[in-house]
Amino acid sequence: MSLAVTMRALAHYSRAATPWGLLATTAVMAVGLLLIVARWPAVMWPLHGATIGLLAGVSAWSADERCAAVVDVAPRPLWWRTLARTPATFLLTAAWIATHLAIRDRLPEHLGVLMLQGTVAALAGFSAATWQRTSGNPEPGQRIALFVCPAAVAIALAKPWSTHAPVFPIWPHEDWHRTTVIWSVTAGLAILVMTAAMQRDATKHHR
Amino acid sequence: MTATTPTIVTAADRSSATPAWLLLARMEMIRYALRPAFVLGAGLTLAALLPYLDAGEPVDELSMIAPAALIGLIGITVSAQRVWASDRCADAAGSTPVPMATRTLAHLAACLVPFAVGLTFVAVSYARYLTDPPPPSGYAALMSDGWVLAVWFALGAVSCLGGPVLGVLIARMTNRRAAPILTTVGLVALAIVFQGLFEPLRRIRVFMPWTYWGGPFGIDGDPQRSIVLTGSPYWWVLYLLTLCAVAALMTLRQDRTWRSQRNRTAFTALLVTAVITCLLAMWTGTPDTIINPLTGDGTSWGG
Repeated sequence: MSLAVTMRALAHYSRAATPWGLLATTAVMAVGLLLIVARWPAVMWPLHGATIGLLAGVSAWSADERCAAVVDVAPRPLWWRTLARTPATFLLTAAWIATHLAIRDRLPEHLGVLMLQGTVAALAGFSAATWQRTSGNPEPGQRIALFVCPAAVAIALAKPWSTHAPVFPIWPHEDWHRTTVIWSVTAGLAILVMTAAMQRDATKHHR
Repeated sequence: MTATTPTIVTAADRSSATPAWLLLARMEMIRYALRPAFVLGAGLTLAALLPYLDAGEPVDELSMIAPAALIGLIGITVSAQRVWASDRCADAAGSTPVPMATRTLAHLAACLVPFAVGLTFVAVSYARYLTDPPPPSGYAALMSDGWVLAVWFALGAVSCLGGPVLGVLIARMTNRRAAPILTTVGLVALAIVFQGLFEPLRRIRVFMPWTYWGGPFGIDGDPQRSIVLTGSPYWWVLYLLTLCAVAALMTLRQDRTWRSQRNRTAFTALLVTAVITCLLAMWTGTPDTIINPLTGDGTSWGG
């Protein structure tokens, strides 16, 4: 099969599999929430964490496979189907980064860390759901979203152990370096989980 | 001589004597207590009490956000998931002898589990408050013990009841899986707006199920100064409990077979009570904002 045909098949699958409605709603909500944060950053900061949770949850949700019973036994491997589903995560991340660049004057002076948070959250959600898919779970993303979104909101509000683990910092006196480490480690773990999922699926196909 | 026949009470007899909703409630309570999201939230909340193991550690007057966020907010989703899971089982079982209202009642009873954890948190914090009061530069030092208890009970315990009850209501009203997530985010956005930082909204803020009554809101020249906001927390506690009752009754009334003129009257009465107690919470109690004369020494909230 030529590359052009493969790409066309990938695009077709991607169009059909991406939850566009959910994606558009989340992107609009994320931009709206970030604009509110930009208007009153000191007061509204927990909404920044809530948006990160939304990104992680919806990114995971976009990995759900409603037709798993049919798709899982088809010859196309998981890496192919995962690749076809990545536009959702890319779009959410793009919306996150673009909004941050647009409102950067109103945010704390750690734009890189803030952009890293949303990007890693989206990647982590997607990776966790993909890993769950290899266990035969058809729609793990919904369950992940139902856990991760409220958990992110709660952590952003209550900031438990924020001195030791500043997940969603805002003030200059907070340990931003440690935040970078936390999110970088999360990114590393997410990549490992994604790789392990692909490996697991490849092993299944070879049997 | 008359012989009396001993009566043997079997486990089956006992279970048939216990009302169905109570049996279900016990099961739902256990299931709720074992939900990983709840266990994690409760664990993190109770871990916030660990500093009190140090005898010299004064009580943190702003710590009530922990149970509210980690148990109450998460409870919205946990409850909704539990209801949907139980409905899936009921659907799979076909026609069940237990009506929807009975199952709903069991789910509502399970909300007592997070409430108990929230209550424990408040009880420990209040006990610490009595022995090691917070610094005089805070807001609690300006008010009576009863006022502090009412505020903490509402913020730390009632919120742990209200969130899960709201989750049951959402699950009974819609099957959309995103509903509890959107409700959580929306509720937080509203709670932040009406937390008391915006001066024009301070009087009406008490209509919200969660709002601050005092804290380092700051004043001109001292951004860390603690203040006490207007209103009566005693009426607010009543208002919140009435809101919980309204939500519970509304949830039960989703089962059409359970609806009656009597519970409709009760529902209307509760709604009227909620409006009255909310207005009383707004317009009685502390008439004007009280400013602590001592300089603030904590982190300001941007005020």
